[in-house]
Amino acid sequence: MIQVMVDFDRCDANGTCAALMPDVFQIKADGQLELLNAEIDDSREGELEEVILCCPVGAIAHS
Amino acid sequence: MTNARVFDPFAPDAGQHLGGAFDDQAILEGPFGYAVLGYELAGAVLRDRRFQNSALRLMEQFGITDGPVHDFRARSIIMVEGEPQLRLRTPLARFMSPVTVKNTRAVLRTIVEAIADDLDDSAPIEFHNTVARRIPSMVYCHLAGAPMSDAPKVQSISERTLSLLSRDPSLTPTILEAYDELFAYLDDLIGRKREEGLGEDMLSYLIALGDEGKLTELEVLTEATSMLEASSVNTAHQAALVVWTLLRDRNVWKRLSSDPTLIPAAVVEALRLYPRTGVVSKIATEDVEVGGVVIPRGADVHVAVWSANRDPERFENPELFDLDRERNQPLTFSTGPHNCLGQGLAKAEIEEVVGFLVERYPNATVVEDGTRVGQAGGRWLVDTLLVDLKP
Ligand code: HEM
Repeated sequence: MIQVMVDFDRCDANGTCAALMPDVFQIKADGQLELLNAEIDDSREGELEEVILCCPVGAIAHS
Repeated sequence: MTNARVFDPFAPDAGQHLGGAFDDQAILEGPFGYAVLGYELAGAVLRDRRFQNSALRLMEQFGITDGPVHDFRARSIIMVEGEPQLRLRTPLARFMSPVTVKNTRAVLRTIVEAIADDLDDSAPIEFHNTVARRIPSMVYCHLAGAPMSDAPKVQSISERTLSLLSRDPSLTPTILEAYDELFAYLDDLIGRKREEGLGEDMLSYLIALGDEGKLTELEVLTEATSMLEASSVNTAHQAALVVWTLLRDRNVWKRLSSDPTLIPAAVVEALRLYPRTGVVSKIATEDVEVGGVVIPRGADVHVAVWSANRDPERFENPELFDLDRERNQPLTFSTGPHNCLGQGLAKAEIEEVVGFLVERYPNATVVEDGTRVGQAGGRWLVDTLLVDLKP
């Protein structure tokens, strides 16, 4: 399993992550980000790499 | 609303308001529409998709109501929401995230050094024109895989297209002409790249996505156009504003000289105090309640970033430059779904300029006589910035 980490002090709620991996990241009704799943299957590493690359503030990382 | 005093977020004296709520109101109504002054409400509006960027309406107010420029704006990344926005956003994002920007640092350094080599440091230099204005367009050329000799053209086009934001309708012909030049320039550049063979750059990547059918030809052009207009003018002004701020605070400048790892925090703090993009304007696409006020559909909502960034409810001693602020998240690059896509790159550009000065010219000072920095319509502008590199 891969650990998904969000630095909420940096997070800017841009939401690209939530659009790319909606089962892992979600923009709540108040517009802020929620991490739905802190662990994902190894097979999804590529998807997560794309999300990390697309975060404009570099707030996402993995184990 | 029962606001007796008139407060105009665009007025020249807007800067006299220290920041945050005015007369206890974080949102105000006036002849301009609504102005959001407090940090929390400002963030809420910027994150709310029911508010749309006002750039298209501004164009229409300038008399640009149809034709290629109007159509470009209507389908550009700042105007579209949801799936269509994401289609435009992700292909670009990979070229400017902090993760990628790490690899761009070496290029940024080369650009800054090339510019510095042209400088005559024996007398004070006008920093905005001779340094700050030249960097972002060179960075764009690198991103787009264009020859560096195109940079002055890119800079000039970016400046003229974004002059829309100065809200001066007499500029309409200038703006239309600039977009014509922009479209023609990109057409030509894309043609040249196809002939020479695609590379690793952003524009090649977009062209390839077009060829694979993942973006339409129109989307490729729209992407490249948005990137060009957004790349240069704000970054140039913001870089000069940051240098102006840091050089004038000698204690901070000394700390940066002895510990350059503090530069990123110093840049963010200067961005907070002197945001080039001091007002981000939106339009309500339906009735929306904000801070107890119902904003009717179609109303203009101006987010006063300059005020939100100095809101005492969010930032302790907001008027002070504090290198040690925690959770320092100014709204200079907006926030939410349309936050600035280029912010990682813009910050890196500015950090490299500051890093270069700190290292090569640690004693540099601002020559106040001959420096003109001000605020117009809530936006911070640098007219001239005279710097003595070797006092
Ligand atoms: C210090 C310089 C810069 C400042 C202050 C700045 C500011 C902003 C702001 C405030 C917005 C958001 C508008 C909104 O909320 O509707 C924005 C959006 C954007 N910026 Fe920047 N920007 C800068 C540099 C750049 C650079 C260098 C690039 C590209 C190379 C860029 C590309 C973009 C794009 C493409 C958007 C639209 C994003 C979207 O709608 O999804 N910006 N910028």
